Amino acid sequence: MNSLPLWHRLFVAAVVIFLAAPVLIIVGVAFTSAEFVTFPPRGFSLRWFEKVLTDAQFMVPLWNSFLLGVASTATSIVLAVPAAITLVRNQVPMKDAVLAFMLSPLSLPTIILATSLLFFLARFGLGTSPVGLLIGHVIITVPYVLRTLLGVYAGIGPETEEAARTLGAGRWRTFWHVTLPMIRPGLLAGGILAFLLSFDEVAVALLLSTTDTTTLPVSLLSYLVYNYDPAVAAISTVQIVIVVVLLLILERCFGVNHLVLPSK
Amino acid sequence: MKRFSCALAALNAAALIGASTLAAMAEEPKPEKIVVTAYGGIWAESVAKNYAPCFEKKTGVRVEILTGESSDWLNKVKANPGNSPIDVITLSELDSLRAAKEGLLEQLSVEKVPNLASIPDAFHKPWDDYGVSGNYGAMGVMYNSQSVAEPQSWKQLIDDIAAGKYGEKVAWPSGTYTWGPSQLWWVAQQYGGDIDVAFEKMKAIKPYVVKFWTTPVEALNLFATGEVDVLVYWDGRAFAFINKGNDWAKFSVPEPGGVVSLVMQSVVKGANPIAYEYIDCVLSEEGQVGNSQTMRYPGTNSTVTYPDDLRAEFTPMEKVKVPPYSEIIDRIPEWIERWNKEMQ
Repeated sequence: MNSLPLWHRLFVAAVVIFLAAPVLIIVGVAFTSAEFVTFPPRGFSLRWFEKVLTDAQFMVPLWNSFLLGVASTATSIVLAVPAAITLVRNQVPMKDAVLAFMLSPLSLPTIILATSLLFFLARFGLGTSPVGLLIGHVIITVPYVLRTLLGVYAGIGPETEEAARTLGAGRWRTFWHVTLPMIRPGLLAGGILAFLLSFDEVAVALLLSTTDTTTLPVSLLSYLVYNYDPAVAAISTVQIVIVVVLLLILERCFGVNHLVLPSK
Repeated sequence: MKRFSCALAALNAAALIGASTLAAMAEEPKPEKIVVTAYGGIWAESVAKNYAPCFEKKTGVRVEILTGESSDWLNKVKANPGNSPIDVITLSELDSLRAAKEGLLEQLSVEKVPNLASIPDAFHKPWDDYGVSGNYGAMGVMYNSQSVAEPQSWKQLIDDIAAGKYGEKVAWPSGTYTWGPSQLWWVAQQYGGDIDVAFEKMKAIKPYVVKFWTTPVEALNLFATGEVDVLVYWDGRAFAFINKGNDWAKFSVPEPGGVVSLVMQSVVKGANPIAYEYIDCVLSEEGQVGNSQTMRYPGTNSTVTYPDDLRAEFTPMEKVKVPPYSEIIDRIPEWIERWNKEMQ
């Protein structure tokens, strides 16, 4: 770090400020004692935290968002792992077209996806079901998990797997004991990305959620339109804390660097 | 290896939680509840506090509140004909007309909703009884009384803004805001109903308008932080702000009155008939007074008596103007397009 030229350090500092400033402002505003969102915050108070932590219109959606994020991540992984293995190791006809198709949800504005899903899923009786909401989120998160997995898996030669097969391990055993540990960085990185995307997603949830499945971003959005108090800053801070704590647990348990960077 | 088992255990746990969530979430909607809609925050709180208890006491059926916006709810109902996730829907005036036209709503009547008899025609007849508004808000002016005087009439206000009397400290609803076209219609009424003149006037005030606002929250933030002294705004929201110790702020509806905003309540086609009871609760004395205390908006039931402090804030019914929506509904898209082209 010492050897970095001054302009380089200034540039890094600018990027850090650019990324961190909005978060710091939200956290600052959450502790205000004022009725309004103002920055710098006036006075110090925990009243907005008390309001959101005891208010079902925030806490129930927060829990829903968490469950939906976990379910979307698990489903995305189950779908993306076989796809990645097949696309990297096998001769798939029109491989590029298949890959482009599987990544195509990335190019679609989510609000358009949400509107089509609303009418499409309703035809199958899933328009108001939690499964419909999960399908919507998985369509959004699968490409991210797949893309991350492909990057990691393509960088690993087939030799280790071939050695396992030669030594008598079956397909499943090879996958479980050889492939899975090797693609673990991609799996975790993609999984974290998928969870965060689902946890934050608003368009699909806006149209596909019901009173039982309203997610936090949806309740924040409808709250923000008609209410000017800093309660949304407080619940956003709670949300940030949850994500940071999750990342810290991952770091403590496994070491994030170790997980998301391929081992050398 | 230990780390890997740890990761696997976490993954398994995640998958298990996911699966059990799905099972829990996939349960059929319970028949012992109805789903009603409300805007987020204080609107939803008012429904929970003032309408739901009345309905639950009367029927023993639970009320669940879906928050969001008029167009989200309308899309959900449209997408699920015969299996609507919503029983009682609240719509903007125009969305309500559109929904009725598409056959998505049930027609109300005094037999089904006895309190409808006490609601003046202006709040349900233009919708052919496919919806009824439980309260009304009037568009007026909230101003900083320490720096500007009370505006007397809309015409005078517009001329004064255009002459720079308030400086660049004015906020006005945008033509693209839900009730923006209604306010444009009202400006046109001040000049013989000519919409071209309304646009000319809006162009004349534009240099002094800090922001043509599109959400009530951004509007109030501009006013509360002192960026504007004159804010064209809703009476109920203005008084909620003034009553929080902001005595320097005042509100008035310039002559000859203010355009109205309504929250049209309707029973969705195919909903359980018990939903009519909910609308009856909205229109009942208990619902009307309670909602007014929470929201600072007057109810529409003409037989209800309000406490004096509330009545003093209300814009009287004779001062509010309900635009002839069924006549202007087809022209509104053109006004919005024109606003986008000429004002932005």
